[in-house]
Order: sequence, then C-alpha cells, then structure tokens
Amino acid sequence: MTAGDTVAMAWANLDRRKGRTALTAAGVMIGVATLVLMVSLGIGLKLMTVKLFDTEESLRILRVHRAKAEPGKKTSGGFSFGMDQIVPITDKDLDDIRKVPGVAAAWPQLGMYLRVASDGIKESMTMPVEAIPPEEERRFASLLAAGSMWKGPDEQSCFLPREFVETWLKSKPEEAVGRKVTFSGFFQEEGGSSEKDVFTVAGVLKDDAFSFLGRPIYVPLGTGLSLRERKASHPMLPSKKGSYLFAELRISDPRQAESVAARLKNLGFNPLSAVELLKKINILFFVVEGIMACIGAIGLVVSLFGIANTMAMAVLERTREIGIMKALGARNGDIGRLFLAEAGAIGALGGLVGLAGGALTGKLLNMIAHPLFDLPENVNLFHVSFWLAAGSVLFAVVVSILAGWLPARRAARMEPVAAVRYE
Amino acid sequence: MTELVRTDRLTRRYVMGENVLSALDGVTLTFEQGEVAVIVGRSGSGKSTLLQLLGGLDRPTSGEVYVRGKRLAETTEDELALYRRQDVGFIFQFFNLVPTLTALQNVELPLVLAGIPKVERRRRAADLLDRVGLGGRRNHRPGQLSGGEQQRVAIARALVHDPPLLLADEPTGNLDSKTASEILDLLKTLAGKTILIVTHDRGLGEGFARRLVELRDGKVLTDDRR
Repeated sequence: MTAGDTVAMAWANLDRRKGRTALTAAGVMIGVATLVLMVSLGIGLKLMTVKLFDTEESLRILRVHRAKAEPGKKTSGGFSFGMDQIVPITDKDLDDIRKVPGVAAAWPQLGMYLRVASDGIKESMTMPVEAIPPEEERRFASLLAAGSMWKGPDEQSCFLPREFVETWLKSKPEEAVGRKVTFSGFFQEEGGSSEKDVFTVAGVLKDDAFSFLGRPIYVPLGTGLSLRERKASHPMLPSKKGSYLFAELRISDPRQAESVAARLKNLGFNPLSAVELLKKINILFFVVEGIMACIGAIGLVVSLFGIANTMAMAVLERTREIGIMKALGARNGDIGRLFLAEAGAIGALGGLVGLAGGALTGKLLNMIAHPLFDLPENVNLFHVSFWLAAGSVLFAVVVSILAGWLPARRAARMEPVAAVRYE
Repeated sequence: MTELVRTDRLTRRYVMGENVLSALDGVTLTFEQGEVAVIVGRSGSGKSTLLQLLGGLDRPTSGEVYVRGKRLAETTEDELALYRRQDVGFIFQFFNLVPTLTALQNVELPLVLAGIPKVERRRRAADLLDRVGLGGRRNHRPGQLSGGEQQRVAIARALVHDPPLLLADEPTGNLDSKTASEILDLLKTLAGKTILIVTHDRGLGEGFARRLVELRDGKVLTDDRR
C-alpha cells in the first residue's frame, strides 16, 4: 500500500466520522493554540528586550568597573558585586583604558541621579545625568532630533531624551530647545539650587542616540564634572573628583567588542558589553520559553488521551474491516500505518487550526497591548516565528502519532480469521 | 496437471478454556491447478477451517500446507499477507464487503493494498464489475445492494487481482435459490482457476464440481472424483 493511498484512506476514514474527528481535533487545537500563545509571548518578550540592547550604538559601547579581587574567589562580571567590593576608577585608569587597542574613546560615567525641574512644570523628575566628552560631541550632534551642539565643554547646556521631552515637558523636540531646566541633588531639598544649576536645553536626542546603558540627560563633560562635585553626594557611591564608579568606552569596530573586553579583563577591569548582556538575555529567555512551552504543552498532552481513546474505539469498531483488509492481503504494517496516519491527521488538523487560532489571538492581544503599554509600532508582545509555527504543528503530529501507537499496534496484530469468521 | 495446493496431516485445534476442540484432524489433500472441487460437511465438520488454513488466514496447530511445493509454515507474516494478496481470492458467506466503501472501491481494495496506480486499478475494478453484471451500480454502497449483488461484488473483488486460487466459503449460504443458482453460474465461467467451494449443501456440490470432498469431525470421510 503506497503512502499516498494510506493517507487518502486515513482521511476518508476520518471524514466518515466527522463529529468524532472534529471533537478529538478540537482538543489538539486548544493544546496547540495555548502552546503557540505561550511560546510566542516568550519570543515577543525576548525580542522586545533584545531590541533595547541590539542597536549599533549599544554594540559600540562598553561599561567597565573594577572590583576587589579576593584570593581564591573568582571576580564576576556584569552586575553581581557588592558596594563594598568596588574599587573606584581613576583618571589614570581612564588613560590606561584609552591605550587598549580598539578603544576609540573612554570617559568617566558621572553616575548621577538628579532632580530636574522646569518653569511651568509642576512635578520635578529624577533623571540620570551623564556627560558627553569633547571627542564624542560630533557623534551626538548627528543624533539630535532638534537643536544644536553646545559650543564648549563648560557650557551650561544639556540634551534631553525625546521620550522625556514628550512625556514630561509635553512638547515637541523643537519647542523644548531653549527652555531652562534646573538640577538639584537627589538628597537635597528643592530650592537649594543656584544659577550654576540652571541649564539651557541645547537639543533633543533621538532614541537611537542611546545605548543599553539607559537614556540619561546629557551635559558637557566639564560642566558635568563640576555639577557632580556640587550635587552628587551619595554616601555609598564615589563622588570625589577623579574617582568614578564606572567608565564608558567606545570601540572603533563592534566586532572587536569581545577582544577589547578580554584585554580589559587582563588589566583588572570588569567590562560589561551589550554582546555579553545579549548572551545572558538569550540564555534567560531560552529558559523562559522552555517554561512557557511546558505550560502550553500540558493542554496538548491532555488532548492526547482523547486521541488515544478515539483510536482505540476506532480499532474496536473496525475489527471486521481490519480483518477483511488482512484477508485481502494487507500486511500488519499497512494496517498499523493506516491507524497512525489517522492519528497523525487528527494531530495535523488540530495543529493547523490551533496554530491559526493561537496566531490570531496573539495578533488580537498585540492590538490591545500596543496602546495599553505604549509599545513602539515595530515591537510585538506576541511573536509567532516560522519555527514556532512549523514546530508546533509538527509537535502536534508527532505526539498524536505517539498517542495512536498502541491502538495502531493492536489493530496491526489483529488475527484476520477472528474478524471474518462470523457475521 | 500440476499441483497447486497440498495439505499434509493438517490439524487445527482450538483451546477453549479447559477444553480442546479439534476443528481439523490430520487432513491430507492435494488440489491441482485449474481444478474445481467442493468440500461438503455439516456444521462443525472443519470445512471452513480447512479453507482458512489453505488461504493463509490462519496457521495450523500441526501438519503442513504446501503452495506450489513451498511450506506456508516457513513464511513470515508479511509473506503470508503477500500470498493472500497475490495467490488467493476469498468469497465469504456474508460477503465481507467494507460497508463504507462503494462497490467500485470494494473491488479495487486488493489492488490498493498491492500498490497498483489509481487509474489502472479503477479500470480493472470497473471491468470486473461489468463482468459480474454490476456496471451500473459501481457507486452504490453495500447497504444499497441486494444479497446477490453484494456477493457479485465480492466475487469481482476476489478476481480483480487475478489469483490462481479461489476459495469460497458458503458463497450461496445467505442467498435465495434463484440468486444462488446465478452465483454458481457465474463461478462456473471462471475456467482455469483452482476453485474450492465449501458448502453444507451436498446437492449443490454434486451439481457444480467433479470432485467432492466430504469432511466429518475434522477428518476426510470421502474424496470422490467423477
């Protein structure tokens, strides 16, 4: 019996019992739809997170810090260190970092969180404030949505992120240029600011001006350092002149990120790159997707009992038909394959409809989620990839075939003489 | 004539709880190619069991069935299925048609199992239905056909793969006398095949074949050739 005839006969048999086939396939459909929805949520969340880090800018920026090395204890990269383990980065360290091949520029990270207020805006906001060194000014100038680059490193000017302008100032980027903002210390009472703390908005930065390290307000390096001396008095964080918690550095070629990171490690620094972070994110989301898939698969596994039951019933009902086929020369394998094809077809039918159902539900939820969570247009909470689509249907078919295995084996081993002996 | 099928001390016993029922007990018979024979006997004489063993539907408890000199006991399950598919055509008392298939689909079923392409098997099945006088009822399902028509479909199905051995188990047992006579007339036209008909009706046997084998209690009582 050819594969084509087996499939055609299996389909005809299922078609004859439409109601039962539909009910059994409905179980698979619900299982696959749940599976698709859960895994697509995992994929969507991963893509959303990756998009934040996987920008050209993120791949060119490294952040380094230095932790105390304890004998016999491995120093860790990333965020896993205690404040008591920090060794501040000095200006000399910055010079050492600049000498590493592949490093285009290095500058201190101010690590400031300041309150920012503006005329006509009731609520002040706490924002990270960072500095742009002179060698980075040209690059930032090309990333302005409105305004222009300040004239020198000691100018009382700042760049605001566009999103911040739109949500806090509630104005368009070009309208924000020229406005005054006042910084005050995170732990200081409001009103304790002088003229030195009043900055003019020189420009508004586009979203892609930012790296995975956040979306701070930028000030010129000279002004920023002086602001830091006056305002950033955190009891646990280094805020002295020439002493920093982190340094940021720009690498000339993103492909060199890993080699630069390795060299920095040799110098005793702990580098954190977007590439490294992406690797960790991918591992984390691999686990998340696995858990999502397991939860989704529970529904599918339950539906398999339905398939096994349907197939077992079919074998009992069709004992005579099986006997006739065997008397006419069907091999055990022909009968077994016929029943497996029927189980597989139920899986394929339920899988395809379930995939469509899951994908459509995901699309609907995306439409609801976009305005609700203010998601960017090209970002989806539920993302059905080709591999998820193909994999879920294939999985449904394979597990359905497994569910039909025992009934099919029973049918295949049926004695023909017992089936055709009596009416 | 050349020997087609031979049995040697063929025995089939069934274990039913603590009892052992001997359905066939040491039967030795030879059937030549093209020979037509009728096997008669009362209910329980072992005639249907003999037919099932000859057709490879069942395996003997002891003794042998030889087909063209080859022991059926030596064959694997798949080889036995191939033997049934290529060499044997079965006609049953209760027709044993698949109720969900049309007459044409029932007739082409052995060819589907043999992997014959659709166009070829459709042509052969349609020809056979024409030959048994059911050309106009190809698309009827068994439930829409009379008993006689169903048996004609079963005969067409038994012949569609052109087997050398035709085994008919009470082919007229479920038909009225007129229809039974028509079915027997149809079987008489199948010259060249070895036809073994099992019946409880001795009169039918005497009128149909030159050889009459009578079984009683699983043993050969008489084997008359006229």
